[in-house]
Amino acid sequence: MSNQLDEFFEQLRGQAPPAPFAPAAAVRRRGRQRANRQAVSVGVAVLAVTGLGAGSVVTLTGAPGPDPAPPAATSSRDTPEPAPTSPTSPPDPEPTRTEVPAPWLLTADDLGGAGWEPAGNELLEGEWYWDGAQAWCPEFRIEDYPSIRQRWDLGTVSWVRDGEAVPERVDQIVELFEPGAAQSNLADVRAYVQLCSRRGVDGDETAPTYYEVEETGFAGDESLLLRVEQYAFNEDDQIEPVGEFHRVAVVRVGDAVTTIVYQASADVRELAQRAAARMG
Amino acid sequence: MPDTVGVPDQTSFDAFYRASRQRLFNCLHALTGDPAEAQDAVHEAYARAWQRWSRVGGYGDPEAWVRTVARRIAVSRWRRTRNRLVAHRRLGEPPALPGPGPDTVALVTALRKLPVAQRTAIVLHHLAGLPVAEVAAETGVPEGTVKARLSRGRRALAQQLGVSEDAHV
Repeated sequence: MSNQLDEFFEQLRGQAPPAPFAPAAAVRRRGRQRANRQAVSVGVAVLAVTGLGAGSVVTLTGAPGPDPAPPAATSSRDTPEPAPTSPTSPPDPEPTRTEVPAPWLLTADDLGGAGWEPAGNELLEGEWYWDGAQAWCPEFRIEDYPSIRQRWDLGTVSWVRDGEAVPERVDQIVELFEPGAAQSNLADVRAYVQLCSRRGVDGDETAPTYYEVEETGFAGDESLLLRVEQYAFNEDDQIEPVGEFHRVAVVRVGDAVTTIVYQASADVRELAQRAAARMG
Repeated sequence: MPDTVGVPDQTSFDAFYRASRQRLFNCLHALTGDPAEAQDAVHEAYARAWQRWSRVGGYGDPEAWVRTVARRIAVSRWRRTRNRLVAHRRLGEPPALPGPGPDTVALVTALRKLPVAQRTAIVLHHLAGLPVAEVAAETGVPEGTVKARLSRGRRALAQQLGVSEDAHV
């Protein structure tokens, strides 16, 4: 890195926090309170789940979750290297695709045309869409979902338009995997939903998300239609659902998986079918 | 409550917290662009570390464990904020930094324009001082991917900050 950039970072290192750090005793107390709340909320949630009856939805493992894995030692990593994006071996008659082509992404016309505008979506890039649940799903460990390491490429697009109450937003992620790994990725999505789907209950310290598998097999080679309910704390610090539910479609076509998030209660089934046709 | 495996060592936790909290805040500040959000994620991560201190304290690098947890807390909050359009509209943009120098404001602003993956790689490598191999291990991607993210991220930062970008990993 250039010296000039180093100087910028050096100044950032000296930046004081907006308030003094909490005393160590207060941090330890916060940890103890958190543990107590988890014990209460797990008990309540287990009771709630046992009263739900049959369904395709929530499984809550009653025991407190394991730690996140300790940071892996560099020398012990056995993550497979992804194949190069420009194969060096002689090309096959039909070379394996290693990048997400732009035509695989949904266009404004696919969404109905009028009013849809491109939107920023940097948060969709990089890591797996379903990562980040650690804060409220202590059982979640990204290491348990290995298919993401077999991803070759990622393409994203986002669209927004004014809605009656709030803007409507559609996010699409297309991930291309090494041969065979896309099926594993669908399995990882199912496992994630099974593990981390949970409704908020009194006593929660973190706001969870609830997923319900509404339909399968409606597009591509494999597909899931998820109803998603998110929870947040209101001004009285009580946990409650956030607005309306929304839906997420996950579709596998060959070695590619697309995830379509529609921030409205509208059905994304048709969009998923259009996306699958583009990827076919 | 802390682990039942062994007796949590309060003294070692307190010393660890005092020694590492500023470094962790630096990283989270750079990642989130929001000092208040960063500080809260840091406090929450240490609280979780204390819950498990009898194990975490025995790791070779407990700071890496706390940093990973803090990053995930921050990412989860970003994602939730992004998804909650109503809340986003009510809250508006994150508040401006209180009192930092202009270069810090410029750097944080430039970092926020990077994709999260590039931003994370830049912060872990150039701010936390992790070698490329450790950044790869901590973020679960191959070293080549980290190098590419660093290269692209540096180039973008240099352009936005109007400085030269003349070195390589």
